[in-house]
Amino acid sequence: MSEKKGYSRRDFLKVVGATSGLAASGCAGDIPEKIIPYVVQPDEVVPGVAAWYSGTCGGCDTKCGVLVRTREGRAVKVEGNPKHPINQGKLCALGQSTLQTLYDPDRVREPLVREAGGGAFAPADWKAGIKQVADAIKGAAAGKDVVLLTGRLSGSQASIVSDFAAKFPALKHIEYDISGQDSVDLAAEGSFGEGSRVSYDFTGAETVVSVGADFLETWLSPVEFSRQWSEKRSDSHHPSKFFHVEPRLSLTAANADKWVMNAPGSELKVLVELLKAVGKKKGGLGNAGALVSKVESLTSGLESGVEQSVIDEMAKSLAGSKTSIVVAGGPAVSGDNAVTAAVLANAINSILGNVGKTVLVSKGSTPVKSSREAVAELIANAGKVAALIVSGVNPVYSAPKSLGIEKALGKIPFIATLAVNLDETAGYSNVILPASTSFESWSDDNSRPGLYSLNQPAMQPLYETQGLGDTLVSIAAALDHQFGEAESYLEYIQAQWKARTGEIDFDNRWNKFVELGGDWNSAVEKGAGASFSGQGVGELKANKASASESLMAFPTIASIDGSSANRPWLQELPNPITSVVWGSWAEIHKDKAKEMGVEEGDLIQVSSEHGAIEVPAYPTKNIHPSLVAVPIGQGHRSMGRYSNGIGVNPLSVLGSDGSRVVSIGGVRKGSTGDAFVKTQEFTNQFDRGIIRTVEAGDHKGGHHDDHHGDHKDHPEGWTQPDQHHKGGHHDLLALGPQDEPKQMYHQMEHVNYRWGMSIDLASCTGCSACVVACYAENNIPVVGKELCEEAREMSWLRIDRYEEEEGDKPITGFQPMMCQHCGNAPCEPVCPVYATYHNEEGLNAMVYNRCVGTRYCSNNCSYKVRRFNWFHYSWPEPLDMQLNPDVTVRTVGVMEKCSFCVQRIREGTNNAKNEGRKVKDGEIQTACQSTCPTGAITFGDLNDESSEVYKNSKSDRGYKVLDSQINTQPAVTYMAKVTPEGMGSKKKEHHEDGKSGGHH
Amino acid sequence: MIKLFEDPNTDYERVDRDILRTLEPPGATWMILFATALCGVALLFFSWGTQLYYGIGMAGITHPIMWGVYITDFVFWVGIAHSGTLISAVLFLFRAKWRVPIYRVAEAMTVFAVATAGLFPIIHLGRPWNFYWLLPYPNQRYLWVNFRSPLLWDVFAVSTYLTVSVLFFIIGLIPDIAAARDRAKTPFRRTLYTLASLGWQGSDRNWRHYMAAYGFFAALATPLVLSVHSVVSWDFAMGNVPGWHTTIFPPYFVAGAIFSGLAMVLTIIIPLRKAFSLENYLTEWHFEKISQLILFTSGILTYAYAIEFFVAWYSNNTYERYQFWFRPFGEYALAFWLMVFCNCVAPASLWFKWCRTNLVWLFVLSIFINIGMWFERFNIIIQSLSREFLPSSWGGYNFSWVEVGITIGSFGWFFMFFLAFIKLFPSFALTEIKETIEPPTREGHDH
Repeated sequence: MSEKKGYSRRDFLKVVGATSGLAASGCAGDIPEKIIPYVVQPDEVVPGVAAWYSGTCGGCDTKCGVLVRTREGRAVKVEGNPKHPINQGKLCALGQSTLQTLYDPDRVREPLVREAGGGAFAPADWKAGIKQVADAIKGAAAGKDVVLLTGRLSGSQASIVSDFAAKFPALKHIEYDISGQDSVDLAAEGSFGEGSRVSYDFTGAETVVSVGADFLETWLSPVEFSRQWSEKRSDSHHPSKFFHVEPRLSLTAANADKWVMNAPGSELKVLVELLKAVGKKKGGLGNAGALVSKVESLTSGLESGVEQSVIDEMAKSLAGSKTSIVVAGGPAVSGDNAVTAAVLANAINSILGNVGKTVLVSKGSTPVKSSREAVAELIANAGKVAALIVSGVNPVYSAPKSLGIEKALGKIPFIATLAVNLDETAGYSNVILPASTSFESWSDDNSRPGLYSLNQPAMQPLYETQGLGDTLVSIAAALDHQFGEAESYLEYIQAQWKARTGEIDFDNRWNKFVELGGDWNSAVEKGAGASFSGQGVGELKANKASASESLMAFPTIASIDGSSANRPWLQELPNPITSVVWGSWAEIHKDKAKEMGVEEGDLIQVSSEHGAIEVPAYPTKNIHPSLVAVPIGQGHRSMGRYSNGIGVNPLSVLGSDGSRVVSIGGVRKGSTGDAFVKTQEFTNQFDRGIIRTVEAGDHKGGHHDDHHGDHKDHPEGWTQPDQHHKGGHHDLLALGPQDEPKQMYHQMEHVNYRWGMSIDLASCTGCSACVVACYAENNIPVVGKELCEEAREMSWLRIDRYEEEEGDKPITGFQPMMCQHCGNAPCEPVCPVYATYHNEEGLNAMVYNRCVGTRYCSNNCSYKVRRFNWFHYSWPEPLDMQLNPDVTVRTVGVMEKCSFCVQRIREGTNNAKNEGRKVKDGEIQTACQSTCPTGAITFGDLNDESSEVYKNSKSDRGYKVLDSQINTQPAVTYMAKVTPEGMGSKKKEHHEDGKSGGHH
Repeated sequence: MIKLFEDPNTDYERVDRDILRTLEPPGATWMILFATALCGVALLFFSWGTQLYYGIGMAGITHPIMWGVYITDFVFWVGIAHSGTLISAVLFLFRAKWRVPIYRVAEAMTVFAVATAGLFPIIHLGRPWNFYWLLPYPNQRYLWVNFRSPLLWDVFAVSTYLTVSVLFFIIGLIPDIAAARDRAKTPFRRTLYTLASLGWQGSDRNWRHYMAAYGFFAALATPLVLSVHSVVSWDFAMGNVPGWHTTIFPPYFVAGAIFSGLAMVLTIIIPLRKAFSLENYLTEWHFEKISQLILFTSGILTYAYAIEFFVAWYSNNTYERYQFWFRPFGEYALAFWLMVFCNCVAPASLWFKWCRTNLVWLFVLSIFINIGMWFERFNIIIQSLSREFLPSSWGGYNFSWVEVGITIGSFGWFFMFFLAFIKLFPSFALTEIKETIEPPTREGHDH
């Protein structure tokens, strides 16, 4: 990169970025460094000072608002936009990792044109590429179509496409949507009338019932839903009750108070039973009467395996709540079932009076089309298609083989793809146009009524890329057409916004929109008046009932449709349930596995009538015995170095009915092959009280027991270490809100600040956004599958999962575990060279340069949060451009760990000092905290008694892991999970029995 | 019954002849052994070089087992060293006569074992090129070492030990080197011995100073027998790892060290006695004495093992209890039971005189004990680290070829020095052996 001679402005910024990346990475040993000074200072670039740009997240179709942090002209971190109404400053793991698509080393960097005779791709320039596309459109014979296949489009993208189609009627636009939003929209129309749209708001819901909808992971708007859902989870008096019905333990199911394992494919049955039970409690079904008989006929003969008592319990809780919500969707409820289930949910919500409160209904949208039907039509009529332009989707990967998309593509004479990666679909193209990411191009979105998000480029495009809008402008230009006055897509957007918001003082307002990241001040319809009409009931369909065994392809926090597979952060992100990294697994019931003689990691072969896949087995009790479940996202043939050849793609063997569940003809033992790699082997706490729970209303003084003295002040319930229970007297080392522990030795004084953190386990869902944010902020290297297998992954923050047996169903807890910054840290005294020490602000500091690598600190760390650089790790270009210049890149042989984002603390304290004040509470946010969708993480000054973190540290629910046993005095307070009254672990009773037994 | 020599008529002349015969030009056996040792050294440096080049990750150590074979090897070799000092210094002060023919070998073993042990703390560092940062040397950056860290105590303990035992070893050698000098035939040997004997004349003055110095060094080295391995044990005992954090460690480690060192002495002297036909000087009586000491230290160890389990149970500490359930029944149960067999069961055979005097059995037993003591350290280090406080972080350990190479190589390194030593210097103490013989002149007068 440093060999270039002539610099364009773009190249110049790249070089500056790359050289500062090199300087930061400290690996300049072999590469001559060139320092290139700015001759003319570019606007908005002050070396050493970050510039922030608002934008829209390109991670999925939810379109959260983001703020992109740039340094010296390159984007280095994404944060949620606190002002954006959807995500309110938070982001998920997918959103955090979008930077690695921007800096993907395998991006398409220039237009590629297939050489004549179907040969290899040759580099071309944009003009040539656009000309080919324009020629194809021009040359389309009468009666033949030109199809534009995109993901869900809204805002100006949708209008420029329709403007284009208006001018060139041969152009047909098809939206290929695998998020499931179209089913929700179809159901809204079927329930509340044409043009209706439903959006959900979990705020205030006292009872949440989800049938299959993984709303804490991928369903519709997970960041928003997680936040809303969590608000009532930490209420220690009246927490919300959450029931989740799904045939496997998804992350969402793991967060439920009651996970109901139903037979796969029986969700409609569960919903209709629930509808009847709710109707009974609420005095009638109203318009939903017809629905009951319709669905009962659709589901006749199905066994859900869910007991009536469970249905009644859910109905009772729903009926007894002022506000509640019922949602249905997700992989278990897909295909035709998705629409029917959503209609049933709408009916139940309507009866419960949730419409206008948690279920918001708006009118007046354009009638929705089923994406699946549109795509099926395209495939059926492929012979009629003269040219296909694909943008932003990868149907060859994500559509089931049974749809026959590859065959259909073979029939289309000209295919152009606007692609970020040379993915499976791009491989079929005649022309590949390199697509810009959201960091490099203008765009806007109108993802729900009244909400307009605006995305500005945060940096110059890395390569010769364009977004869809600009590409359409260029194609139109090549066809001698111009969209009004707009010479670029930016101008087109501006024209759209001007038309919508008025011309007066537009430039000024536009700047405000850009700064804010959108326009969301229009009143949002709540649709309180809407009621379930049931007009679409007649058309409802159900999936064909599956055979005795079935396969489910499910999305995960790291992948909705496989497009994020080439991001190393996500590959190395342990799945919160299985802790698998870098690969696929097949969840299979442990009894079935045992029967087959299959052990964990053995390959099993799962075949449907559409094909077979071989996946390493993950035997678990947390799945219905008739189901095998495989995650979506892996199994790419062509995508990039981090995804090719890893795992399998379960989407390929699904049926053409749009369902994520497919009948299989049994499971067989597979050939021998690579197993998966897990980062956590043991999920049993062995009664160590690491994750604790309180039952609502149980812990606050109301629970007296003479046997164990003061320990009623501590969270208990699920588990408590033995010591805590034994002995009625006050334990010297036990930490309680009233009694600080007595210490034998002089304690370090923290005169100015004492940084601390609290983590609310009641709201932590295990979504792992914090983990990815930590990688991004702290330059944590990704080590790859082989080294993960050797347990050499570098994550400073991990999500531990513990599971408590209660009958067949688990009670699962997630615990973000990072450096506890112990006041009495075991790691500090053992370092022979003072590479780790306690600083005056309570941080357990780490001096990388001083570390010689004895690793004694890690041995002595009771929380095992120190990670060691076993090798020299590097970032292939241009991934290194993402490195945070404020954080040292560590070298081989040194220890590293969470620093509480000390660079952010320094920035905050320096700012405060410059202004002659103390740091305000909440002013400094760690990377994990700022992205946490549920706000489970709080950071601040423990010396400040008004701070949030101080209050949390003194909370009744607060406890410190291991502290009562080994007196480490962590700065991190965990707040016990809250279980609703009567829904706590049965284990507790056993425990009390065991305890009183232990006394005598 | 004390039996210093098989042949009661052993005289000075014969002692000189028999002992200095070990310095004769080596035969084929020695050559093969030495070549093997050199191959081991080559393996050591090749393995270490690989690790230096690619990173410490070439070793199998990983989270959560951050110390593995290297620290096991370190403790093993430091332990081996201990019996040498015990035999040469402590038993000297106690005037235990049976130490006489074996102390030189034991002392050489000490020096070379410490020299071997000293490699491991450096090998195991993540950045070994910065090892000198562990030394408290003045520097412009005002960086200082952390005197609270047991690893720093180790630096001092091991370096002190190496210094004192090397000096003690050299002092003890002086009169014998002088004897060898007087008989040396080649110019190389003559020069070497002339230099190494430091101008020894055998005068009264020489002897007076020599005896005083030897006594002082013996007194100086005696506390080191207790302190060095106590400090080594604090590397673990000062940590809070369940299975490490216990006050029994210093005496337990010292006993273990002497136990393993005595076994290593047996491993070495039994073949040496055969090779150099020294049956006259190493009698059944000597081996019985060594065996009795082995039996005694094995008893201490067995008690210590048992007490660890008792305390884990009695403390009612979840973590300790789990750890001591895990050791005999967990993933590494084989290592545990191997240790129990080698260190507790097999040495119990020494209650029987037949076993104490059967050299074949003693040799086999010494190998068992070496293995058992290596696994004792393995159990303490690896088993404890693999099951700490948070079950989420429990893990296992597979050692890599690099660690195997370095471990095997360390034996090559040790035996390279040892084999060179026995051919270059008298490996049995001439003067002290002669001291145990009735002086010939006096004999003449008495009769």
